[in-house]
Amino acid sequence: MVKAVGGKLLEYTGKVQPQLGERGANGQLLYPYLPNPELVEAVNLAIYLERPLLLKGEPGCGKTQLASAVAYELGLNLEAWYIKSTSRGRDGLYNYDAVGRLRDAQLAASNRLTAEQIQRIDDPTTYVRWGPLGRAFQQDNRTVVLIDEIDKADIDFPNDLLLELDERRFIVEETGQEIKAKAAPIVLITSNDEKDLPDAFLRRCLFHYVEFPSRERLIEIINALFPASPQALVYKAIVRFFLLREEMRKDKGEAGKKVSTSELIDWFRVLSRYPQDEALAKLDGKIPYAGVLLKSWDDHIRYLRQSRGSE
Amino acid sequence: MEVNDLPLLELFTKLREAGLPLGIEEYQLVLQAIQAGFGINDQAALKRLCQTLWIKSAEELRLFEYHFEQLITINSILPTPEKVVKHSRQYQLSLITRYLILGFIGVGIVLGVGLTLRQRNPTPQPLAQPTAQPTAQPTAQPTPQSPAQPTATPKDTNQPDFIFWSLLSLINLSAGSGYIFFRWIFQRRAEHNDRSALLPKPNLTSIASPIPTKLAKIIKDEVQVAQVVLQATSKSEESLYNRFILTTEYLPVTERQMKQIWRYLRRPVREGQRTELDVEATVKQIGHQGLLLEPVLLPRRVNRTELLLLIDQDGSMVPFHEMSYRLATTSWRGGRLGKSGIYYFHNSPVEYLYRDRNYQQAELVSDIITHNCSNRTAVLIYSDAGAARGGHSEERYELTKKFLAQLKQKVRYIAWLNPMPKKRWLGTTSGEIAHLVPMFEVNRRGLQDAVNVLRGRITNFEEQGK
Repeated sequence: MVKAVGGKLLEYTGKVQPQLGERGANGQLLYPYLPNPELVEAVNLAIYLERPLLLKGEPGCGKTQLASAVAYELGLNLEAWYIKSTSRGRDGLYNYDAVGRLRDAQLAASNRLTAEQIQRIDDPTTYVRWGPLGRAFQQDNRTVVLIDEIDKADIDFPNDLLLELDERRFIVEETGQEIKAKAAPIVLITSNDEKDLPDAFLRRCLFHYVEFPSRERLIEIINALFPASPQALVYKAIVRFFLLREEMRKDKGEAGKKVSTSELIDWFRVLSRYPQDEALAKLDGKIPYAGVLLKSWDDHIRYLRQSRGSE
Repeated sequence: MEVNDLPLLELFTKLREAGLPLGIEEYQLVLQAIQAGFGINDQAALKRLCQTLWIKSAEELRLFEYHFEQLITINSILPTPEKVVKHSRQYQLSLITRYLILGFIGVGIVLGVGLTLRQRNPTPQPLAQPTAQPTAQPTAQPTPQSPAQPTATPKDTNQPDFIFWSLLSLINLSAGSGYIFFRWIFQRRAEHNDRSALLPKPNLTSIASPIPTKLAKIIKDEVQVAQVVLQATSKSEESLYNRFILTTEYLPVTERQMKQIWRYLRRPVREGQRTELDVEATVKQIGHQGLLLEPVLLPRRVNRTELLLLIDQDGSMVPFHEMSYRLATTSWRGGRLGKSGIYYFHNSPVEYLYRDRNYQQAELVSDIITHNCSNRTAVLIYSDAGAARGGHSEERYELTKKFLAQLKQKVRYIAWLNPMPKKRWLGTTSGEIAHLVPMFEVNRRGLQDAVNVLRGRITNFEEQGK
């Protein structure tokens, strides 16, 4: 669908999946990721237009996982930047180790450094430590950059990144070095919608709301993750899961926290440890291992009350 | 350009008018994406494309869906895949056919005229060529082909030469003119379609049926809804009264503007753990001591504004509930306002303030002031202060005055938002209260000024009436 522009053909299909047990460059386990076609289209749009893609959606529906799936399929590097409440815009670009430089200068003054070390500290770039975006800008290939949970940071945080995301360049203040992106990184941003993002930032992003997977897709996901599991169990577990989710939706409305894909996967992992008939029997009664699915005391109480009412 | 056939610009303008933050660049992005092959498969794909590029939240999505349906679904000139992709090819094809037909007609006329002049010249060979051409032509063009067939059949009977050739040229002529005529008609049609597509159908049925159900879902932002309705209804005189039903709510500030304004309410203070390196101070220290003993660290800069929002409920404030709800949600969501608290009261705060809208969870005013307020707290009161009903109530004035005096012992910045316009304050209790505390009417400007007061900006307000 995407036409090659200048010979560069990058298209995400969502169909190339890692084998079970395959490990990424950093040794982390890779899992299959099954996006829906709309999401795939949004990703391709972001790749083509070279704009950041902002992903929202309920927690646990696979926003963060998408980045590694895209990187895996396209064979690109992944730079993940997990935002904390103390993160600042500059952290993603670079950090300057001023204290280290000071220390070295002192050591040099007291003649404790070898000639090589002195040569090293003469180079001003020695003390620059690149952040995820800074690294991505210097790569020859396009890099997938994940900015995870951007809404956790201060409200000014997104605005501090406008120029960097827009023009894909920045200046290291301490050395005066200008870093220009060699290849536009593919930026994926996730937000849990805890805070509203500023308009100026939103304007520059593409937006996609990651929907909760449908029943069929959930079955596919579980099958992809646990290929050896019997179909009867998968089907029954998912029916049960949807029942619980529906109950939660009725109780808490659309906005409340509901059981999500990641919880289903954990739950199924526990279930699949048992022989099939035992696990099926467990599914008939109360929800087995409810602690994996129900995270708050309120949920638990509500569930207990319902299950008592139905008996 | 084929993209121009779509009412995309119209959709874009409508969305902009409805308050979405879109710029020219966003419009160009869509064009660029369409040229690259995105969003042309069907209507849903186009919708997804526009959605990804233009829409940034769930509220905007509803608005978008409404407009999209209005503009793009009603008319049928949608970019069916063939239409956009093959349009250029079709255009070329039609050009070829046109030239062929013109050539055919031209040759026919020339031959007809030439042959009628040199009458006794029975050479049917050359005229086989022009007649063969249109039949071999792959594109089905019904109008020129049908006259081509009869011309080929009476070839062997070349007795009534003159009549035949003049007839042939006549048929040619009529075919050509018929073709031109049909083309003209089709063009007219297409233009008409285009135009009707650009205008949001100004008929009553479209207003009466789809809007109410659609709008019932979008109660998020009434200003925007009102705009939607206004745009849809302004074309028809008969439905003028309709819009009054939907725009009676007094909402002069959109949700977006409100969020933007809240962002200004911040006072960064360096506080907490010393984590940040103060390079300048460190260098200075080294200058004093001759060597680096330890770096100088600074606490981080954090936003230390705490907002206390006091909302007048019920009674004369009933029409403004939607607004107060919006104030509460945007201030709560719009950023970190410290331990921002929202309290409700009725008419004037007396002794107790309430945590909920139904006056169930009461808290003592003195408790709130001692525990929840500090010199960082900014208090915003949202009340009509008696301006909605009019008249002067000494009791209300005294109660408010007492409360404000109590508040001022602890709080430095207080502002009052009055949903009634300023000209209605005069001669009512609110006119009096406006002398005690900076009071602003609710609009964008007023809200901005109120936030400025809360930030401690100098205002020309001078307290009177003491």
